[in-house]
Amino acid sequence: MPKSETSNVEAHLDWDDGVAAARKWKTRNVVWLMHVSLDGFVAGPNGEIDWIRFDDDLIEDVQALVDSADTALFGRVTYRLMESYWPTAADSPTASKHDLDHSRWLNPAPKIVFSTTLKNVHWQNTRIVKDHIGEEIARLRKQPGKNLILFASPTLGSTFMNLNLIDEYFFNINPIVLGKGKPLFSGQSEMRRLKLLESKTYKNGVVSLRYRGGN
Amino acid sequence: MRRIIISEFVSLDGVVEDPGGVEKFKHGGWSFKFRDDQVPKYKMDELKASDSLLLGRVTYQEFAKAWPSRKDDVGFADKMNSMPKYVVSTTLKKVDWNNSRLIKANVVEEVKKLKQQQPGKDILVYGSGKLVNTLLQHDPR
Repeated sequence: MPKSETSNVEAHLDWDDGVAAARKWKTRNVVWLMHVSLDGFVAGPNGEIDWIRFDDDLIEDVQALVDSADTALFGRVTYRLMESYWPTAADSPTASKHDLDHSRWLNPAPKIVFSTTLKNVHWQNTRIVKDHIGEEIARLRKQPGKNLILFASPTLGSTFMNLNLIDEYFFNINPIVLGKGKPLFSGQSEMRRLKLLESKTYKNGVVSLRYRGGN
Repeated sequence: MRRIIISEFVSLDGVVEDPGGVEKFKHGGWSFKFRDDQVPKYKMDELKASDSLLLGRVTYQEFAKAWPSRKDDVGFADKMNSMPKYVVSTTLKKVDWNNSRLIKANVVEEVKKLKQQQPGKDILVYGSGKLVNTLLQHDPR
């Protein structure tokens, strides 16, 4: 093998090691994943979420986002919903591939529920945080690990925004006007500029918008 | 049948108020902070594909103040000023902007008739939040 090629290979290995080291020490980002209607609702008036389109290509991209994280964050309402489904989702004979893949990630993952009223949780590796949200996130960021992913939880999401805790937004805009329901943004008092990282159109009509938080 | 095209500047949280900065909204003019090279061509092509505007009162009144004195190299303002404009309002008494006429009642029926007029290109709706909701709800075809 000519000498120049050998040194290229070596240089490449060094570079990979450098990237791996950088990843290892990178600050953990807080990523907010949310499915939204065109008119900005995340659930119907009675909590309906059956309008959310979630199939192949989108599942793949969301799975990649989830895999970039190792810890799940929830508000109380979303947590309750998830707790009633995911612990046994993979046991069902009708479980989809996504049910199996997501169960494998979510069930053992550390989960944090932010709630002032919740007393008990019945899902493995879950703890309740009642207050000092900002301090809790700051502490988690300092620990080595992957990203922290906030699943849905619109009320908590707004609180996080007001505390400047969100680093990245992953909004999937569904082609539907719900008319009324639970709004994505509530209690945003200030104008906030975001940086568009990517937009992607899916065959099912969903457009996903990925933003970096403007803090 | 002619198509109705609804064209909006909208913020991520669904606000459509005063994107151009001619009203008195605190954040007025917000859409112009995000312009790039592709927007003018997109807006010109969109306007060229249509031959009428359909507007609600609020948007109409702001447009009627702003557009008559505007002029540009690509003919955008000329087209805005010359093309027929249908204004939906129960309170306006008259419409002074060139080539405007009022739709005072039976919006859905009137819009259905407009759509059937031939020959005709697209009918363009800018802004006009309240009208857009009426159109969405009744889906005139």
